Amino acid sequence: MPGVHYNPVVIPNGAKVPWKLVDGVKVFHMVAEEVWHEFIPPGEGYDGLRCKVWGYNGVCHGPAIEAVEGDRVRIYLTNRLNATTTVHWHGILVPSGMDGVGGVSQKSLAPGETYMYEFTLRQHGTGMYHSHHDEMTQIGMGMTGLFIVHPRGLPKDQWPDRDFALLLHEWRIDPGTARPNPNEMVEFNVLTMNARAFPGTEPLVVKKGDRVRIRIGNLSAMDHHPIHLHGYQFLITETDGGCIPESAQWPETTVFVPVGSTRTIEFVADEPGDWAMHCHMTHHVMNQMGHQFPNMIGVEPGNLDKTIRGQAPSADGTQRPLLPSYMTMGQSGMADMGDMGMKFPENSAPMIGGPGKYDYITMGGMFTILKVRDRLSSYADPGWYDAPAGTVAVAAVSDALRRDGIHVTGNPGIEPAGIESPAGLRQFNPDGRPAPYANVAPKVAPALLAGVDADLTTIRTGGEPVTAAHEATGANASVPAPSTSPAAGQLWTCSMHPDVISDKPGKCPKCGMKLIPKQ
Amino acid sequence: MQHREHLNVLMGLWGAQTTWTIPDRLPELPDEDLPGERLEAQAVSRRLDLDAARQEIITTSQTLGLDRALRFVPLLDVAGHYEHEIEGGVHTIGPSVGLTLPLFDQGQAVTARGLALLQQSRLRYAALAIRIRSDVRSAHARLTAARARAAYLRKAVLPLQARLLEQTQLQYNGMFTGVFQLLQARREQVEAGRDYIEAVRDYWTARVELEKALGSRLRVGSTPSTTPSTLPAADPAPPAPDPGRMKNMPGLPGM
Repeated sequence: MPGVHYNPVVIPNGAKVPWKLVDGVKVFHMVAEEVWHEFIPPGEGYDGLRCKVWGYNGVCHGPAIEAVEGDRVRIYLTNRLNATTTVHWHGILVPSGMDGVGGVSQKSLAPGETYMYEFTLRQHGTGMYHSHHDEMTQIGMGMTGLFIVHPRGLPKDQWPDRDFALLLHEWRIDPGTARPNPNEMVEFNVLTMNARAFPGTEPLVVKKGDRVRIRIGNLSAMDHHPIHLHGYQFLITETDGGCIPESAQWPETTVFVPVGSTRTIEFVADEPGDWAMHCHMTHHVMNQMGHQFPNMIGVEPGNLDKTIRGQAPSADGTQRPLLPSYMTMGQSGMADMGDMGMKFPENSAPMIGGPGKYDYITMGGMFTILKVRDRLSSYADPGWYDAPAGTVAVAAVSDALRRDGIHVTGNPGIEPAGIESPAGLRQFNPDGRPAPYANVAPKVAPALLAGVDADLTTIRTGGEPVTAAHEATGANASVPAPSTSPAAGQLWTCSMHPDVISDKPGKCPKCGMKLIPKQ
Repeated sequence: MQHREHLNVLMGLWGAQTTWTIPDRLPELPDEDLPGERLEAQAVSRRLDLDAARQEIITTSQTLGLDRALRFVPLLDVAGHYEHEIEGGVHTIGPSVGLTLPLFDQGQAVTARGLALLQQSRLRYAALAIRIRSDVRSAHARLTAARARAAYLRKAVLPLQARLLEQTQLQYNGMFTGVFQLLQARREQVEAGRDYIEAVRDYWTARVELEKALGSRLRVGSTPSTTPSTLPAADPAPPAPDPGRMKNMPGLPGM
C-alpha cells in the first residue's frame, strides 16, 4: 500500500494502471488500443507534435503498473487493436506460461479477445512490459510501459524521498504524417522520455536534501542511451536484474541504458538549481530537423538568395523567381532555427528546443530538467531557477578583463603538453632519478626549446604583454582596441629556419612548425 | 528563319503577308469538341476527293448510257470496187456498201466494260468514304486522348506539383530536407509544366489532323478568342454540298 510500503513512484508525463483488491489479489485491467498522443504539446513558439500511436488504456506509453514484492497480481488484457497482440512482463519473474511471448508461452490475443495473466511478484525493482507479438511494429508504435515493484517491509527511513521513473523510446515520424513509421531501422527523428520530447517533458522536481531515485528503462527499437545528469555524481544501485551490492556500486555522471534494460540511480540532491538530464548522443537531443540536412557549415551563398527569389538577375541576365521564399540556412549550424518564426509543415517538430530563462534552449528530444530547490510548497513545477547573484556566467566586464590581462582580440596561445612539454622533456640526474622540473636541461635542439619557451611566455602573458600605455590611459574602458594586437612591431620566425620572418604568428612554410617571436 | 520561310512557301505568302507573328502561349483547350459521329457525316459531305470520286461515278454512268443508246445503230462501210479479169477481159467497177448487222455483236463487250468501270468507280468511292470515316475516327480519338492528357495534367498533376513544392519548401524551412531536394521539387514542377505545354501542343496538332480528315475547319468547341496566329484566312469555308446530287446512289457509305 502507498504510504505503508512505499512512496509512490512519480512518472513525469505518465500514468498508472488503477487496481482493486479482490480476495487479496490486486486486479488490473489493460486495454490495448490506438490512441492519439502528444509528443510535444503546443506552447510558446511551437505548435506541437501529435500522432496516432498504439498504447494502453488511452495513453502512450501504457500506464505503469505499481505493486509491492509478494503481491499476487491478476492482470486482464483486452485487445481493441485491429492486430493480434500479447503482453510480456519484461524482467519480472513469472511462470513460463505467463511470460506473454506470442506462440511460445501462449496463444496471441485476436482482436476483441481478453486474456488473464496472474502471478505472484517474487522480487522488487524496475521492470517493464511490452507487446511480444510483431514487436517491431507494436513496440515501434509505442506498446510499452513500466512495471514498478517496491520492496515489502522496507523501513520508512530507507525509502527515497523522490522516486522517479522514465521510459526511453525512439520514433520515426515524418513531418506532417499522422503515425510513426515502425519500419524504420536507423534514422529515428523523435527521441522521447515517457513518450515526450523536449520541450514537452515535465521536469523532475525535488527539494534540497531529498534522497532521489531515478529509474530509467529503455525500450527504443535500436538505440542505447547514455543518460547524463548535470550537477551530480550518482550511484547506479539497481538494474532490471536486481540490486547491485553496495560494494559493487561506483560513481557515475552518465548511466548507460541499453535497449531492453533498466537502470536505477540514486543521489542526494544537495545542490540547488536547474540541472539538465539528457541522452548524450547528440542526435538524440534534436527533434525532427537536421538529420537529413546536407552539410551547409561555412557555405557562402553570396547573391544566390536574391537570385533564386528573383530579386537579382541571374548569370544569364534573366530575372525570374525560382523559389520566391528561398533562404540559405545552416551555414553556422542549426541553433538559430528554433525561434526564427518561419513557416513549417503542419504537425512537425522542427525546433531544436524551446524558450528558456536566459535564452532559447537549443536542445530537444531526450532531454529533461532536474529542478532542485531550497524551498518548495509543493512538487509542482517551480519555474526557472533564480541563481544567486554572482553564480551565473555573464558577459565579461572590462575591469575583469584588465585585471586578468585578457585581450579579447589577442591570441591566448597554447601550452605544450606532449613530448615537448616540461614533463615530456624532463631529464634524469646522474643517479638515475628524475631531475627537478626547474633544472630541465635541453636535450633536444636548443632552437626547439627556445620555441617552447616562447610559447610559454606567450601563454603566461595572455598572448601579449600588457603595455604600460594601455594600463596608464585606460582610455578604452570596455575592450582593448585591436590596435594593441600582437602584430604591432613584433616579428615571428621559425626556430629551425631563421630566414623565415613573418609579421604574425602562424606556421613555418618550410617545416610546418609553429613560428616563435623573434627576439 | 528557315522554318518560317518554309511555312511561308507552304502557305503561299508573300509581301506584307510574311510579317505574321505567333503568340507567346498556345490557346487553352476549348471546352468541348464535336462528337465523333457527326464529324464522320461532315467529312463525307465535305471532302473534295470524295466529291471527285462521286463525279467519276456520274461520268462513268453517263458514258455507259451513251454506249447503250448507240449499240443498235448500224455501222456503215462505204467503199469503191474495181475488178479486172485478164482471161475473160472483163472489167468490173462499182461502189460497195457494207452494213454491220447486230446479229452477233450487239455491243455486249462495250456495255460490260462500261458496267465494270461504273462498278469500279462506285467501289472506289465506297472505299474512299470508308477510309475517310476511319481517318476521322482515328483523328478524333487522337484528339480526345490529347485533350484527356492535357486536362489531367492541368487538373491533377500541376496542382499536385505545386503542393509538392510548397510542402518541400516548408520542410526546407524546418531543415527536415536540404536545398537539393527543394531544387529537385522545383525542377519537377517545371517539368510538369513543360509536359502540360507539350500536351496542349499535341492537342492542337491533333485538331489540325482532324480538320484535314474532315476537309473543313472545326466549328464546334470553336477556336478561343486568343487565336493562335494572325494568319490570313487562307481557308474559306467550302461550299455547302448539294444533298440531292447523290440520290441515285443509295447504300453507299457516303450517305
